Amino acid sequence: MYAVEVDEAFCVGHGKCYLVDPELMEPRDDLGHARYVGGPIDDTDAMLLRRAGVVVDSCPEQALTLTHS
Amino acid sequence: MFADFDHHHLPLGPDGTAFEYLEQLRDYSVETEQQIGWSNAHGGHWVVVGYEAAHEIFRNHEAFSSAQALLPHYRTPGGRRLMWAEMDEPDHAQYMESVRSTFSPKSVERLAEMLRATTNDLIDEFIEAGAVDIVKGIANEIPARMTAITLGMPPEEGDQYRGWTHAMGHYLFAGEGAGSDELAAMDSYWEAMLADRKRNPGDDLISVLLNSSVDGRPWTDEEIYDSWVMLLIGGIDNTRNLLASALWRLSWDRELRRRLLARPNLMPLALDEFSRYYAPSMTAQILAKEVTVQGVHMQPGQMLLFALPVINRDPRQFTNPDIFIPDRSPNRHLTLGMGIHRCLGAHLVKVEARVALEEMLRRIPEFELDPTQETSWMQGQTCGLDSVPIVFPPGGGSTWTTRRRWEVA
Repeated sequence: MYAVEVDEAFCVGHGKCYLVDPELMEPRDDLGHARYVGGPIDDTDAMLLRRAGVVVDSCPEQALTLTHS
Repeated sequence: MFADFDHHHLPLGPDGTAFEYLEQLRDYSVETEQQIGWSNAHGGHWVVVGYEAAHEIFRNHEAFSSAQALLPHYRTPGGRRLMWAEMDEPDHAQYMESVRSTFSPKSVERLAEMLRATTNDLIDEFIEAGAVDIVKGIANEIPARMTAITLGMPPEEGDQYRGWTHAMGHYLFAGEGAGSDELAAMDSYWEAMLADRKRNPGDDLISVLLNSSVDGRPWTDEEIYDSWVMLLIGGIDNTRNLLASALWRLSWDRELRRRLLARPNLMPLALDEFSRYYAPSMTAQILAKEVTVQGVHMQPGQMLLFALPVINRDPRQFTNPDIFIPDRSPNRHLTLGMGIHRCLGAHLVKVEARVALEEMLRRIPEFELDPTQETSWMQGQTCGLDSVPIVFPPGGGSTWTTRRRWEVA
């Protein structure tokens, strides 16, 4: 299963991730820091994995990663 | 091309903007594989034009400080540094605490309906005339009004507020004495406003600061003045330039306009692309330590300017960077900065611009650049079109036949 992980050391609340995909990411505080709200992504779910990839690439801080567990 | 780069004198192309020159600088940087170069302007400074270099520099808080972010510095009250923007950690985080919630995504979204009403009132003023300078009519007004409302000031005095911010930077273009009357007027205005706000607090940001603490003690009057100044500087011209560019583009790019009219849900992504493509400002930093970035050796005390409009066209980061792709995604441009100093108004500008463009397109779906008038461009660290005369069918109108009628007449 995959998920999008937010590195809080680098997230500064640009909000591009939830702009691009409000179903997968949303703001979590006053500064607009992001959190992943998409749930676990199945290894075989190509569409969702692609969406998650776009979200990860949308961050100017490079604060997002697609992690596997 | 780096040696002559001067952000106060960017050469304008036939379209009246500096973007052709900025694209050429980008081409030069790619050909010579130089992401950072030295300019002899303004006493000499580094210019960053490559995305990777910019990313690395924004991340390096040891070697690069924001203690100076203006090049050259504006005439701020007391010659003091810009609140928030010219602070490093830990000061920056402490001072930011008091204003975070005012600019949160939730707070700014609540302003959308009021913004929509304001935008429509503004459009009402010129829609019957069939002609307007879109900067005077909309692009200047919206950010000035929003900033004024945030600060608890009369929203219709935008010309006055803009006058003050220009006066702070004006001497850079027009000589030592230029703008001193406006600066004196700004001082007096502030004194009176602060006194009044102390007696009659409201729910504006100045009242919030009067009631907040920083580092365990109240904000000083000076610090509140500096906050007010920073919000005027940051809140008006940058957004103005972005709106002006977007509306200028929409004046002649009919295909883009049709696309946005047909698919209004594209607007948020399109706005992000306007932000990338027509970056309205360039920020700066000062070297705190000796450092080498991308093979370029830099010394403490040197200034470094981020040429954001060039950085955002880096082909190593953005495929087809010179093509405006309204649904471009990903689009990790650096217009709103990076790291701790990313624009405080990042969420607010999205709402302002989205509502402004939505209402303009809805009320005046067809408009063109006025062929009898020139646009004009304002130079500086915040740069962009500051006059964009357009023409359209009086009353708005949206049918093809209506348009043909006024075109022929």
